[in-house]
Amino acid sequence: MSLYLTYYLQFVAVFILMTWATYVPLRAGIMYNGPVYCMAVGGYFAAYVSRDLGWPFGLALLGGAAMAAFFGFLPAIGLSRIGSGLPIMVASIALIFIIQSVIKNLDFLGGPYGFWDIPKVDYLLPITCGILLIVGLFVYRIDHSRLGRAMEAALVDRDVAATLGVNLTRLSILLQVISAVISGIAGVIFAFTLGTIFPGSYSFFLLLYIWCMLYLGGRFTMWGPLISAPILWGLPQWIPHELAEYSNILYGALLIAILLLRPQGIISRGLVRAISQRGRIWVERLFGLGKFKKEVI
Amino acid sequence: MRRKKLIMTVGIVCLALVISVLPFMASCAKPAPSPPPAPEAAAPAVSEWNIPFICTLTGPVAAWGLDAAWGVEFAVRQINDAGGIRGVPIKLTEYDTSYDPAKAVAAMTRIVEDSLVIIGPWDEMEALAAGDIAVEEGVFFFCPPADPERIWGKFSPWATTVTTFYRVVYTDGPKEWLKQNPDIKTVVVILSPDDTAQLTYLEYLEETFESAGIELLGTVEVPVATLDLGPATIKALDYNADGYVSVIMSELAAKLMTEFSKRGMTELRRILSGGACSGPAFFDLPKEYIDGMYMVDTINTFHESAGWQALVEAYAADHDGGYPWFPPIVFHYDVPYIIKAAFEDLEITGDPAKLAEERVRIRDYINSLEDFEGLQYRFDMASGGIKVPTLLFQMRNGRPVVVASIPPE
Repeated sequence: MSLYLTYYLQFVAVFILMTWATYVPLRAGIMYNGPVYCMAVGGYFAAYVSRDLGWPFGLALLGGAAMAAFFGFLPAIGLSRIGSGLPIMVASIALIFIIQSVIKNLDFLGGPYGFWDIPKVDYLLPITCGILLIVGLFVYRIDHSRLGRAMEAALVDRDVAATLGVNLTRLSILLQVISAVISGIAGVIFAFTLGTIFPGSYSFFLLLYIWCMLYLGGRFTMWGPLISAPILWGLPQWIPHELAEYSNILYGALLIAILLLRPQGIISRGLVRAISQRGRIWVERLFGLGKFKKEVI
Repeated sequence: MRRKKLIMTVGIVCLALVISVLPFMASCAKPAPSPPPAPEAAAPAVSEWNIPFICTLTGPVAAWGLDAAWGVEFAVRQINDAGGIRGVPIKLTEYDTSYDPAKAVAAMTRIVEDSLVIIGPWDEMEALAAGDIAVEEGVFFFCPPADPERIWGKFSPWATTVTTFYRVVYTDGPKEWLKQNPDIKTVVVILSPDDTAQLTYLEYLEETFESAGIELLGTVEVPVATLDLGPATIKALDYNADGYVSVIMSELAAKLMTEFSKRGMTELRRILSGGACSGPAFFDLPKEYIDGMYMVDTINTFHESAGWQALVEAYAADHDGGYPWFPPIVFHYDVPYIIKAAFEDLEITGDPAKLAEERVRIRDYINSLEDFEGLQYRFDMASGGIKVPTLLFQMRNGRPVVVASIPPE
C-alpha cells in the first residue's frame, strides 16, 4: 500500500472518530463542541507518556482515552446544567481556547513549539481500522439501545422526555463523556500518525471542519461520516493544482450545494432504512432464509 | 433475528468502507516505470523534471505563501526560458497546505516516493511535522525561510534552509541598533505567540539584551489573527520603555505603527522591527508613521543587482505594479537555481532505476555547496550554515535605507 494511501486512511479514520464524537451528543440535541478539546488532551497525554515515560502504544491509547474522559467529565458537570443548544455550544467552544493556552504554557509538553519525536507504531493503520470498527459498533449499539431511544426523545422534545423519566442532566453528562472518550482515542491516533503535534493543531478551524463533515454526511445517522470524511479530507488534495488557491471556495460551494439540495445530508435516516431493507432482502435471498421462514410458517 | 441484524450491520459497515476507499484507490494507480536507459548514458531520462513544491497558498499566512510561490515560479520560468536543466524543462507542481501540518504531511506522503528533491514545506511548523517522512524515504528537501538551527538540527543532512541563522540576525542587528541609540536601556518586545519562529526570535533577543545589559521589561503578545492592535499598543506603552522591538508580520506591524502614531509616538528611532514587517501594508503607510524606525534583516528590498531589478520588473508586471516586499521571495527564488546547479553538475538523469542513488548525490552536493551566487548574496552551505551580513535599515522617506552592514563572524 502506498505511503499516501496509508496516511490518507489514517487521517480519514481520525476525522470519522471526531465526527462520531460530535454526533453522539447531537443525537440528544446537545451541540457539544468539546471533541477538539478532548482530542488535544488525549493526544498530548499519549504523546508524553509514550515518548518520555516509555509507555507502549496500547497503554498510551487507554491512558489517553481515560484522561480525555476525565477532562471531559469535569466541564460536563457544569455544561449539563445550561441546556442543550446555543448555550452549551458557545460554552464548549471556550474549552478549545483554554486547552490551547494551557498547553502553550506547559514546557514539558513542548509549549508553543510543539511536541516532537512521538514514537512510531508498527501497523498503525490496521490497529486504527480495528479501533474504528470497535468504536463504530459501540456507537451503533448506543443508537439502537434504550439510551438511543432516550436520546431520540430528548432530541424531539426535552420537556416530554423529562416527563417520560429521562434524566436530562445525567444524559448530557454521559453523552459528553462518551464523546470525550471517542475524541481522546482520535487524538491519540492523530498524534501517533503525525509524529509531531502543536497546540495550534487543535483549533477552532478543526472544529468547523468536523461540523462540516457531520452536516455534509448527515447529522441524524452515524453512517454519514464514512462518506463525508474521505470526501472532505481528500477534496483539497485531488483538485487540480492550478485551482489549489480556490480550494476553499470549492469547499464552501460544495457544502452549500449539499445543504440546499439535501439538507439532511448525504446519508439520511430514510436512506439508511431503505438500504437496510434492501440488504436484508438480499441476504435472505442469498442464504435462503426467507424460504426457510416461509416453510416454518 | 439477532444474527441477521449482525450480518446486516457488518455488511453495511464493510460496504461503506469500501465505497469511501474505492474512488481514491482508482486514482492511485501508478503508471508502469519507464525502462532504464543503457548504463553509460548520462542524458536525462525524463521529458520534464517534476519538482514538487509544498507551500501555503491559502490560510492565515497566504499573503507570504503566495509571494514565496511566485519567487519559485519566476525562477523556474527563467530557467525554462533559458533551456531548462540539461535541456529538459522543469514542471513545478504546487501542493497547498493551508498552514496545516496535517495537510503538509498528506502532501509529503503524496510526493515523496517519486521525487528527486522537494521544495518545502514552506513553514517551520509544517516542516517539523512532515520532514521525518522525507528523511525516512531518503529525499532531500528545502525549507527556505525556516530557522537553520531547528531544521538542520533535526533533519540534517536531508534538509536545508536558504536563510542565515536568525540567532545572528537577532544578535548583531539589535546590538547595532543599541549602539546607534545608546540612551535605550529598557525594551519591550512585541510578538505573535502562535508563530513558533517569533518565539525563537524572542529567545535570541532575550540573550542579546542580557549580554548587552539591557533590561527587558516585558512582552506584548499579538496573535496572528488580531484585528485591532489598540489594546496591545497601550499595553506596550504602559511599560514606559526606552525602546520597542517588534517581530510581528507586516499587516500587524502596519497596524502597530498606526497605533503608535495615534498615541503620539514621534521618536521612532526607538522602534526596531524584524524583517517580517516588510510588506505592502507596511510600506503603504504615510512616511511619518515609520520614518526613523529601524529594521533588521539580511534581505534588502532595494538591492541594486541586475537580478533583483529583473525580479522587481517581473513582479510588477504580474501584480499590477506591485513591489516584491516580502523577504521569502528571495529565499525561494534561489532554490530552483540551487537545484539546477546540482542537476547539471551531477548530470542527474531522473531515471527511476537510479532514484535512490541520485537522491543521495543531490543531498551530498547541496550540503557541500560552496560560493553559490544567490539573488542578493553569495553563500555556501559547506561551512555549516549560510553566513551573510546582517543589515540594519532605517526608514527614511518611507523606504528602508541601509545604515549598517554587520559582517558575519
